[in-house]
Amino acid sequence: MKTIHLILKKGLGIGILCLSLTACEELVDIDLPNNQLNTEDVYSDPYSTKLALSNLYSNLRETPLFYGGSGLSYDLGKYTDELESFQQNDYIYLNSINASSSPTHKYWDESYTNLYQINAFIEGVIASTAIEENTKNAYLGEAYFLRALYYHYLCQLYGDLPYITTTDYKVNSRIAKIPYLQVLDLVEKDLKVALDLLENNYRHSDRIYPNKAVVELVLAKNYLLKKRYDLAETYAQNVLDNPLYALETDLDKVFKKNARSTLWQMSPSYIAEYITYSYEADTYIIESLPPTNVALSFNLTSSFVPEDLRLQHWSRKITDGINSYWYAYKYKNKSYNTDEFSIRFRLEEAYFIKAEALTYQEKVSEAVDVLNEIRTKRGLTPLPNTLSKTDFIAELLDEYQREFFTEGGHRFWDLKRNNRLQILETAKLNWEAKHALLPIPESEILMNENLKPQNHGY
Amino acid sequence: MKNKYNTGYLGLLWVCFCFSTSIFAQEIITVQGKVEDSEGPLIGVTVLIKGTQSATVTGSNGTFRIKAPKGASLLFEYMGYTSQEREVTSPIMNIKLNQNTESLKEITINTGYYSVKEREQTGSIARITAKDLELSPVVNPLQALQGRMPGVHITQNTGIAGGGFKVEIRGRNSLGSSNTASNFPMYIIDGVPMTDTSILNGSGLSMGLFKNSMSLLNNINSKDIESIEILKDADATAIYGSRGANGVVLITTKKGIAGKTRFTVNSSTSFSKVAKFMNMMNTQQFNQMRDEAFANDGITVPPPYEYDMVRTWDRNRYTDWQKELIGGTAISKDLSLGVSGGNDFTRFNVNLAHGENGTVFPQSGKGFVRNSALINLNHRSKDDKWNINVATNYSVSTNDLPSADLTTPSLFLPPNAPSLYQADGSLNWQNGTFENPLAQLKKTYDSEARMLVLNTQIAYKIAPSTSFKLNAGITTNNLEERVLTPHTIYNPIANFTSERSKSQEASNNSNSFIIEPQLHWEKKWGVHALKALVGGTVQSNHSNISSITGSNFSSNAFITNIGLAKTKTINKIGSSQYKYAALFVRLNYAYNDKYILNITGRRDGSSRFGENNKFGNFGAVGVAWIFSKESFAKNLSWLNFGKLRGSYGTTGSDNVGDYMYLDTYTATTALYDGLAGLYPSRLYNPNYSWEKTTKLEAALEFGLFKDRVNASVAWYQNRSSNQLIAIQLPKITGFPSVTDNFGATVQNRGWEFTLNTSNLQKANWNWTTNFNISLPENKLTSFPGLEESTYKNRYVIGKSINIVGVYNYEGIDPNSGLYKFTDYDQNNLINASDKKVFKEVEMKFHGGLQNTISYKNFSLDFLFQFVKQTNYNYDKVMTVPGLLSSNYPVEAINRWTPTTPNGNYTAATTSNSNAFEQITTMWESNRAISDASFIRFKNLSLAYQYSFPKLGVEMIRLYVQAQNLWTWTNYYGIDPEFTNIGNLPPLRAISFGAQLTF
Repeated sequence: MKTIHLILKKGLGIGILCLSLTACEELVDIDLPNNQLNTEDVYSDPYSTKLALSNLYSNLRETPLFYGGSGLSYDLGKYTDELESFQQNDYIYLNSINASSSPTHKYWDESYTNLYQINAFIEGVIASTAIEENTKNAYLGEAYFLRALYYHYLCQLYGDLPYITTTDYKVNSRIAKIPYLQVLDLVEKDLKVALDLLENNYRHSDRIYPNKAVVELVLAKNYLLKKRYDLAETYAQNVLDNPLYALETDLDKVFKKNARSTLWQMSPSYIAEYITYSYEADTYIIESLPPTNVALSFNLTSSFVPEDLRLQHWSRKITDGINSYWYAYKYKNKSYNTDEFSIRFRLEEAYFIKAEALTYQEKVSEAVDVLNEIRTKRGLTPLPNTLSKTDFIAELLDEYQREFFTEGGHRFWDLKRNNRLQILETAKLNWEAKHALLPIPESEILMNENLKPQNHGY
Repeated sequence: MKNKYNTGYLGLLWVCFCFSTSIFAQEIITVQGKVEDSEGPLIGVTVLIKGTQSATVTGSNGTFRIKAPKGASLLFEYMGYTSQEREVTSPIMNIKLNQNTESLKEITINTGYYSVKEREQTGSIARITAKDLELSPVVNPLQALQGRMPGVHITQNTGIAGGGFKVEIRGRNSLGSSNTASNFPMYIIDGVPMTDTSILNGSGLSMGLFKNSMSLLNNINSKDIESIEILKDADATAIYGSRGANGVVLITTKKGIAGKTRFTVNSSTSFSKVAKFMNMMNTQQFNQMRDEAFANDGITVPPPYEYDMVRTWDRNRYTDWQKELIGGTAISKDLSLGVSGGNDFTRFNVNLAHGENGTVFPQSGKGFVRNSALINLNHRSKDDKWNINVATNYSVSTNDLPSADLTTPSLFLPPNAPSLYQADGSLNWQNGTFENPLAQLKKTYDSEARMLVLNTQIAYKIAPSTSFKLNAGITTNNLEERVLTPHTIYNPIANFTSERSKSQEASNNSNSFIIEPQLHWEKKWGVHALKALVGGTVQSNHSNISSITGSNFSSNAFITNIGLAKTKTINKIGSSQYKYAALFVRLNYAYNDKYILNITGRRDGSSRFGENNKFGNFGAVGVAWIFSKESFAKNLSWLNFGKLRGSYGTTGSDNVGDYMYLDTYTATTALYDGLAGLYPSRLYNPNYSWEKTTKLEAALEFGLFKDRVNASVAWYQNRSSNQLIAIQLPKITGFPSVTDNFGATVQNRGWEFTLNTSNLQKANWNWTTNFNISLPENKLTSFPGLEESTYKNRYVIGKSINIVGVYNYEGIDPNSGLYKFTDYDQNNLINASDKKVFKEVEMKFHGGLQNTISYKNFSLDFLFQFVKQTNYNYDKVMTVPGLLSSNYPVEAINRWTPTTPNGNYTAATTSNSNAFEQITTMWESNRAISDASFIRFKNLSLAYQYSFPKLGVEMIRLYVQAQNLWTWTNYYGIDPEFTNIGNLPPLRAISFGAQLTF
């Protein structure tokens, strides 16, 4: 009975306690959940700041815009004439995307989610007093670079768009689009900041964080878009002159972890010994027939001459006796992957940028020489220096495709930048001019009318 | 006693109670007799020894048998009859009861913190008792409520046992998504509030089956429930303050009845099937469509992935995939054993139950199995000062299922898809071209849920007018889930090995306790009666969740042991806390039992709000006027009861999730450079505060012709303002939403009618009818700043919040064979600016008609449920005609061809990009929304009961019950009751059972 009295007393006690409201305050005080940290605390500790940065990279590795598996690289392959799809009613392959279909959401939504996190990181690091200056610069340099990288691709995909640099949702939910060319200016601005802040040496010997050279390459790419070919040439040349890099002569080593041609690659999610496959190998390798995913298009395979080393080393043929199909074999580890990281940029691209920049500066003959450096390494005969500009651009675009197929949607960007998307009309039945841009997701326009107008034709 | 309470008191109490039966029984004689009315014996009359809780019930011939002390009084009570009191003088007593008009007032209603007599209540409360709950062969008690309660609209999400329900009490108050907690009612089991259902769905592993909406009430055996009360208006819910806005569901479990120790064995078996399949194309119709598609497209050499056309598949096969994949019979078995009894001071009720519910899927797991134990103990001290109730509800439910619902594949597989098996019995992949749906069965979902609800109520009478009560309870909810994905589910062409096998495990735990001390006081002087209640609540809830994935196994034999996976990822790990404290009061004044005033109030504090907004005040006033007690009504012989009541008050909602006001980072499990990341958890807003719902109600209740007719009419108007929701944001802000208050006001207004009639009261015949209908109306009454908000294109002031903006479908263009939609802005494009038609997707009215007919020992009960509503139809999921990736309803035969330019569907095609581009437009047009009203023969129960007193058998009851027996509907789709198209529809169940009480 005593116990009951005790319970009653306690109960009464609580009742009385509750009568005074100050005590009630304590009754509703709670602890933070064990997987969350206060934002202030994140940026007042160098280690947790590093973790916040690490998140920006794993975002980039997994986000559809940059994903090595079935992300934008894969979708643009099907969207253009690079990949043939064996999936029934593949809307991307059929060029039937509209503003409410998922592909457009996928690229837009996740990119902006990641951009918010980049902006929050920049704000946090700038405000932090706990991080020393050198580290701060390195981190900020990387963050500005990442922000620029997203917008560099997003504006090519969507045209005019909002360039968000803050985390204030009240402003951002009503923010308006800015013109494509201004987006490129802002990308340039961010890249220049990153260039100042980053070192020439890598922060990690596996080249999994960007250095100055990576920023220079993207700057060069951005200048191509801005048609500032002189600057594009300069920055591409800086990369080419950088002693850290050299072309791999063995084509089987180009996509390996230790390739000297690699500028930047993604660290995989798991500890190396447990990685089971590389995203690219898993997506593109066909092991039995008929194919159910994708194969290289006839358009692509027929552009190779048999002695092209890339045909021999970077693709494979599979046949059932009647039909045969080619697939990309750049990344080879479909299981027990220990030596393949997803490569974002490699040295070869600097050659192509330089060649393209020279062409548009009317230095076609020099451009041919630059391209021939790649061609000879790939087992091809050099092109004659007498090629006309138009013919050379056609050759350059073919070479781009043979070099960079299934890498980051190169075919689409290259055709678009050189104003040659209309050549897709022969291979793609449904191709229309409007397909140069994806539609802005419909729900975004419905929620923020400042994103109007919708891209032409959608 | 001291020791007993100190050490493992539950167990010892149990022993104590078992012995006490014999200790207190003294000077007792056995009384037996028969109870009759003017027309014959009465079955089910309660025979109570006055001043005790010792009672029995008359059997099939109106006979009873009870042990009572000589000189005590026996009280004979029966609904609709005047009670009689007789002194025990001889061992034989035959009683005649008279029908009474006023007896209904004796029913008491549980309102949570206090009880009121039904006829004196000032609030709006719907109630269902064991009598009706037991009529339905159901897994979840919510199923048994459908169609029986006015104002309560319940939609079953899936026909798979263990799934969830959408429960709306008087409509949707919050602009938040209708399937999120902000629109859920509060559930209280025996005085203990149930924690968020979110713990059940946090892992996402049940996504493929239940779309993340399992119901906590799956863990309760509906046969253990004595009554369910649903509190609706302000008067009834304001005492629950911040948590009462969406209504409160009170579940009370069965208590023991004093008297002899009574054993009850109940066993039933039921057979459930999908009641109606969709009428899909057969092979011939399908092939004709395919040929037409290629002809329309001008394709003469089909690409290799058109397997039927290139003869990789046999074009002429036919399989009825619905029959094959969801056509099975789910067999359910229930077995329960109950013991109850006790004496004047101590009563107990124990019920142990085992239930199994199979699935309609082929060769799938065991399905849903629940083992539950209910232990209720009540003790009253001899001096009547102490009153102690202990209720324990424990259950373990397991579910063993394929990891995905096969309903969608059953509708989408073409009729000539290859056979499931090869000649040697192995799965057929048709050389890798056929994604065999049965492979998915090998990907399994199993779960184990444990729920414990333990409640103790201790009341002590301090003075005759004052008592102190302590309600203390704990709940633990624990859910372990596992999804196994062996590599064998993948098409063998992928050449996967067990390296790709995957095992996912999740564990969710939630523990909470509640302590509610209360002081009750009541006093009566002359015509005045005053009751008061003051109480407090302290509640704390702690939950944690973890989920891990293991992949890359050296063999599938190890797949159940995640420790042997070579790659292990922690997907989620976290904990959260929720604390809640409140102070509540009730004042009730009655004048001459005619005029009643009820005032309730609550001050709430919740940890879900930021520093300055933790506390909120809620309160209500209820009044009732029992006009039948006025002198003018005394002369109206046909009117025996009449009451006008009304209430007004505010309630709130804090269902926004924990920690939403904090600015934090969360740890991810994805690694980069071996480092786990930290990402911003949310757009934080420290300033949001309580949502308020103002509820107004007026009602008239009356009983006519000696209570042969009872009816009620209620009108209500709930207005929710300061809406606290996850406000949708465009994705460019970085997050899909931010939690904040919203100036919008949502109004739910409606009428509810009930009519209960006793049509026939004869010696052997009894026939009663219950009818209810609810007519809700939802409206967004104000929304300041709508034009500037992200909801500009979502809501319209003055219209329901259940509207959707859609394209206007005009028909088929006879020339192109494509759909036509209205181009409102005339820019020759159909895009978001043309979504100008607002269509309601909502229920207009619902109700039920129940009849109970008994003849001698037979009783027949049947219920029709009716719902008038609009919802998405099958067009919402149907793709362009002509593809191999889907089968189509026979309606798609009526499609455009050059010779039938007036078809109802677009021309068959496999590659017309215009058709593909506009298919999502069609899904989002008013064509995909249509009438989904239905009348359902919801429930049928036929029972026969008999007693064999000589064999000591008090009652044997044999019954046949059926659920969802027949549905009348014009709905285009598999079943009009759904929350997601493609879920297994509610099943038709027929159950056979027997119950033995001795």
